[in-house]
Order: sequence, then C-alpha cells, then structure tokens
Amino acid sequence: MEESVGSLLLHTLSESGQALGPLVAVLAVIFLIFFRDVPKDVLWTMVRGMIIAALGLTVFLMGVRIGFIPYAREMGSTLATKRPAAVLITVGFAMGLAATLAEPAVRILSGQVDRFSSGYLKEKTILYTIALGVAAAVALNMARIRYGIPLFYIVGPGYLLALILVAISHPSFTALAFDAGGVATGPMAVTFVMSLAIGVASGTGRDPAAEGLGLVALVALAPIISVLLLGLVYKPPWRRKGT
Amino acid sequence: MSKRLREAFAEVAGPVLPVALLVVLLQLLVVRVPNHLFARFGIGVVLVVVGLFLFLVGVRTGLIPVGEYVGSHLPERVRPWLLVGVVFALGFVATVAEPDVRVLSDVIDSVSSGWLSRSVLILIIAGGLGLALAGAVVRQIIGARMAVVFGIGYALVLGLFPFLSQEHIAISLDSGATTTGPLTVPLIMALGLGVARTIVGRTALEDGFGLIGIASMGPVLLLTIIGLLA
Repeated sequence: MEESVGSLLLHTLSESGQALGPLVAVLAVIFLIFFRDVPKDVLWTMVRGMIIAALGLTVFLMGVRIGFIPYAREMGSTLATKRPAAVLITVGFAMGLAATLAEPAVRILSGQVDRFSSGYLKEKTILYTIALGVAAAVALNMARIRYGIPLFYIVGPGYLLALILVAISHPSFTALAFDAGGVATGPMAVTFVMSLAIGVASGTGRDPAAEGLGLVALVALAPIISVLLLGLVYKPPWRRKGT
Repeated sequence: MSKRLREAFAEVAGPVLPVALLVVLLQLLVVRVPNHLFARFGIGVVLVVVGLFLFLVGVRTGLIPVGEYVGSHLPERVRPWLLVGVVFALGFVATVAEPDVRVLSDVIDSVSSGWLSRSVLILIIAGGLGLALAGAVVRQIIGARMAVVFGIGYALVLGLFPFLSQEHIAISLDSGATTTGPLTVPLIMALGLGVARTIVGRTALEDGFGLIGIASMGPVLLLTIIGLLA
C-alpha cells in the first residue's frame, strides 16, 4: 500500500491485463471453434471492449487501494475505540441500507422477478426485503466483532434456519432467495464496508483475520433468510396449482 | 449510445454516492478521521466511479453481448457434456476478471496469516465457481431439484466447518459471497437462461434463477475442502 502512486499504477495496470486476458482468450476460442459462421468483427468489438474494461478495472482498483481501504479502516478503528457500541451498530445498519438500495445488481434481479412473476411480486417489495436483510447483517456483524462472538455461532444457525425455510417454501422462492444472497454483495459491500469491519476489528484489538473477515458471508446470508421469509408470507398464484 | 452511457453512469454512481454521502455525514458529525485520509477517500470515490463506469461500458459493449450469444446458441450446437466443460472454462476466466474478487483477495491477503497467497486464492475461487456452474448445468440436464442441491451443498459445508479455524471459515464464506459481481452476474444469467430455454418444460423462474446461488456455493465448498487437506 505504501509504494509510490506510479509503481502502484503500473502494477495495477498489468494486473488488469492478466485479469481480463484469459476471459477474452476463452471467448475467442469458443467463437473460433463453434461459431465459425459468425462475422469476425464480433471478435474485434470484444477486444475493443476489453481494453476499455481493463483501463476501467485499473482506475477502480487504484481508487479502492488509494482511497477506500485506508479511510474505511481508520474510520472503523475510530468508531470501535472512541464511540459507544450503539453508534457502531447504527452506522453498520445505515451503511448496509445505503449500499444495497442503490445496488444495480439487486435492482436488476428485483425487476426480473417482477416480470417473471407477471407483477405479482413487486420490484419494490423484493428490493426492500433484500436491503433490510443486508442492513441487519452489517449491523449484526458490527455487534459480533465488538463483542467477540465467533462467526460460526451466527452463520451455523443462520444456514440451518435457511435450510429449514427452504424445506417448507416453494422451489421458486428457493432459487430467488439464493440469488438474492449472491447479488447483494456488490462492489461497495466488498470494498468499503468490508474494510470498515476490518478496521473495527483491529481497533477493538481483535485478530483482524479471524474476527474482521466474515462480513461478506453475513451479507450474503441475510437476504436468503429475508427472501425466504417473504416467501412464507406471500402466497403466489402459481403455488396453489402445486407446480 | 449516449443513453446507454448515461444508464451505465447512473448504475455506477447509484450505489457509490449514497455511501459517500453517508461517509461525509459521519465524518462531519460522528467520527473525525484525519483530513489527509478523508481527502484520499474523496479521490477514491472519483476513481471508483470512473473506473467502474469504464469497466461496465467495456464489458457491456465487448463481453456481455458475446457471452449472451454463446449462452443462448451454444446449447443447441454442442453435446451436453461438452457444454459442461465450456461452462466450467467460462466461469473460471470470468471470476479471474471479476473486480470484487480482486478487492476481496487484496483485503484477505493484507490481514490473513498467509496460509494462502493472493494469486492462489483467486485461482481456487475461480475453480470453485467454474465447478459449481458446471454442476448447475448438470443439474439442469438431469432435472434435479434446486432445494436438493442447496441442501446437500450447505449441509456439507456446515458439517465440515467445526473442523476449521475461525479465520478459515470466514475466508471460505467471504470468498463464496464475492464471486458474484458486475461481470459474473450478467454472464451467468445469460448462460443459465440460454440453457434453461433449450431444455424444454422448465419454468424460467425456477431454472434460470438459482444459478448465482449455486455459483456462490462452489468456492465455499472448494476452500473448505482444501482447508481440511492443508
């Protein structure tokens, strides 16, 4: 982290190339083997797009490394040491809400569910269900670090609850719930909120690896439970037909 | 084109700005983080928005249309077993390129006790996702129920966790949850819906969805198993 901006830039640029290169290579090979009849300029469009994407990835990673991670860690450790637990937990809740409500992947999924269920499950309903789940997870994680509760004590019962809910809910909700868990962990959750949690852990004087990690896991678990609970409340029309 | 650019910008700025505003409020009212770090945060916001914007534009113009084309046409053209292999390869390389996975491995590398190097961690996550996606296609082909797959997968993970360290559990679960980001989600959805469409008689709501969930399970399982062996 303390290397100069210039060398960080070079390092990040080559990393981006290595990150995107294999994807382009595999897609190109697939096209050359299975889609010979497709015009070749498709491949050029792909290479052009990938160069833009590599530049973007470089700038993004620079921003995260120079700005987000150092600030979030410092803020986390200050919150943990100089403010009461209630403030810490409230900040966590607000962060979770702010990061999820505007997360495009969550909106896209909510919109798709709206369409596939022919408007029976409203986009807003899914969106708020997921966002409240995530906010609760980030808040719970702050409390967990603050009071030193092992991650497994929360994740274990959490997944058990999820499995029980899966057993009693409609298959359509199972798939939707696990997808909701996947999309809730967008770039903001991973970059900013995760670093904040690690800052809280090191500020509290706990092992940042054993205690600070685990936020993303909880953020992924919470919407699974909240969407499955929504599935118990809702009685969608296709459920009565017994699929 | 300019409408698409505006949309991409709104998508990127959407989740970043509310968090940035909240941070400004917290900085003014609740915590005083040293000013030089606050300034770096400001620069970070600009770089993250611009970077993600460029990334999305590049991925959307160059990669997603190609991925969707492959997803919807490949199942008609190749035998099922070959499709499973292609899906594994695509899942693997897409994860290697995923921005979320990069940042996660950065953070883990900076705090962990170093039982895994950063690049090995990325490869394991990518391998886990590739295997899970391939497994998901097998599930679609043989028509097993989603609940059964999640049940077996998570029961296995939960059963193995008591044998692992706190740190290892956290790394496994965090990695699984991060695999699904701005690059992998659209690609996986396109592949999944394409396969579901060619295998008749299934509803899209059950079959197209659920793939992302299965995809996140892969890295968790693989990291858990590797942790037991290591």
